[in-house]
Amino acid sequence: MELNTGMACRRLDFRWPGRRTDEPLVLESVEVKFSPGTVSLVTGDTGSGKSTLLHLLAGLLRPTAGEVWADGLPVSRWPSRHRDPWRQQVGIVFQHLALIPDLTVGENLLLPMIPRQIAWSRMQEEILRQLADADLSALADAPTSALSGGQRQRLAIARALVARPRFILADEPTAFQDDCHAAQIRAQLCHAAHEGAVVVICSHDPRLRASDAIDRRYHLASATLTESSANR
Amino acid sequence: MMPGTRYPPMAIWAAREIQRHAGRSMLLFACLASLVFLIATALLFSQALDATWARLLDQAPDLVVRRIDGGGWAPIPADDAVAFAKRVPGVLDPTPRLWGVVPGPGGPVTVVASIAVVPANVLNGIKPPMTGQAVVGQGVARALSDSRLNLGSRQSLTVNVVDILPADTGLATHDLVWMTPEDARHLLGLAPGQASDLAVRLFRREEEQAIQADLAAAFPWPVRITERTASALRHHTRAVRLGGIAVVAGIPALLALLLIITGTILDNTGQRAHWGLLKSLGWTTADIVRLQVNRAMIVGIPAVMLGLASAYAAVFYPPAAGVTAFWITGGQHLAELTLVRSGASVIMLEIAALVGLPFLAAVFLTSVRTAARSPWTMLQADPWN
Repeated sequence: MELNTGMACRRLDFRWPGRRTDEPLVLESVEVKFSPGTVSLVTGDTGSGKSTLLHLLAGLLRPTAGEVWADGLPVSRWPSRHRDPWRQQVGIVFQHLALIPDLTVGENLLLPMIPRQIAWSRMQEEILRQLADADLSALADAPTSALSGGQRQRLAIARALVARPRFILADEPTAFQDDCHAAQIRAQLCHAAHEGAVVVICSHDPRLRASDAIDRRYHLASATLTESSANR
Repeated sequence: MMPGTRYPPMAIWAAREIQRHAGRSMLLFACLASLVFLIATALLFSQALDATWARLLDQAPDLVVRRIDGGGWAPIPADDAVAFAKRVPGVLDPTPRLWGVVPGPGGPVTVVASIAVVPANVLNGIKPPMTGQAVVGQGVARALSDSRLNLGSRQSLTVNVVDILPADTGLATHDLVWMTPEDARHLLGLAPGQASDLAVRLFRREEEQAIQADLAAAFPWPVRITERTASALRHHTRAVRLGGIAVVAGIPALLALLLIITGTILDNTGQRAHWGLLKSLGWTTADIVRLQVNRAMIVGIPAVMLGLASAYAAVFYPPAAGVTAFWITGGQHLAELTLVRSGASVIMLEIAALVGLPFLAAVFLTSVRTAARSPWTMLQADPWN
């Protein structure tokens, strides 16, 4: 397997820490490569381990066995002091969104930018661009708690994209969206991929499964990830 | 990537975090400022009292000889006393002094014929009084309605107050009335040629104790000799004891404040989910610790400065200083008490370090401990899960 660019899992096993070794693995021998410039979709039943896979790819969890490689680097093996700064290359959309409700929309977008040593002017530029892309420009100063579910989800996606990360990992990014905004999000993620990012989406959304914007499709079942056909 | 842009966003975000938790930040600010105020007031007061006494006693004679008899102290024949003292090797410049306590308009006052206790450079050019004139301390001046001062009971005297002694000599001159030797002698009922006591300087100050026996033997009457070092030590001990008692008396308050500060710092652990989110967004442990230290400094530095400034005002500005002295000593309320400020800056720096450094260390260590955890573990504490 070519590991020099993109993100890859090599013989990846995962079992929740503290569980007995005779319990079934959440992920078993996952072998996959997500290439730069492509949008990959991971589908699977509820509880099949899609979110866990994203958390492993994002460096939030450590695999029980095997490795996650990012641009040729075995990031899952790295100690925290190296993995924490590497995470600046990752933009993640949580299924539960994880926005900070008492901050404004603009401030939520500022959060990933602060530790990145970016000039204020560029931060503002990127935030305004993402607000426009997410159709949230008029709500920049509104508290996040005042947004609708769909608006919050678009904000979470904007937060993942605002620092132009190399790896974009999105968990159910269109779950609360109408068709129009779902298409808008697909376009945003495709645009990021065309700019060279690795985009991995976990979703049940049939609109995403049927979308032409998806380059590779995978299905997660029984702890095993398999590449599937376009119309699955 | 401009290194110069790294800190301002972090500092600005730290300020925003303080605003997000305004109530807790205000509580922390108030507790830190109060803690510094309580410690600094007690220590500054005792240091200032010590410094003031040291400056005043520096001008005092090495030994003071008083004649005593069965009824207490007795006037001393001035010329004879000088002649007797000069016979003792090591004694320099024996000087008869005229002084005594007489009734004044607002209570007893101390009448002196010379102002040797106050250094010349502190007198600010005040000239010695002429016959019928007096220079008075701040406490005496306050009791006057005009420039006329009536003193004494059996032997009474009215003098014209021509000047007031500087406020920062108040510890020694608060109740002082400085007049000519003739006026003082008249008021104190002393015959010409008599003095209240004899001030003696020594060739070697360290011989204070050794020379006392020779000096006492040189006089044909019983005398009591007081040494400057003993007075200085007594005042120093008192000042240190007062400061110590004030700190000890404030221990319950200090403990309560420390408890609140510790609780506020430990609340970092309640922010685990938030920090887990920050780490998932690309913040490192160092970034989170830097944010917390910035927050602590934005709250802590002004709090420590306010506490120090309040303590400084409470010790060195007369109306407040009198209240502080009354609070710490439990004694007389000296509304015009003015203490010497030398050495105060060192004490203030020490107190800033004493409170500020452990506070920052506590913030740093608790932040490192919490932020170094795995981001996924921290995220599990979040309200969304």
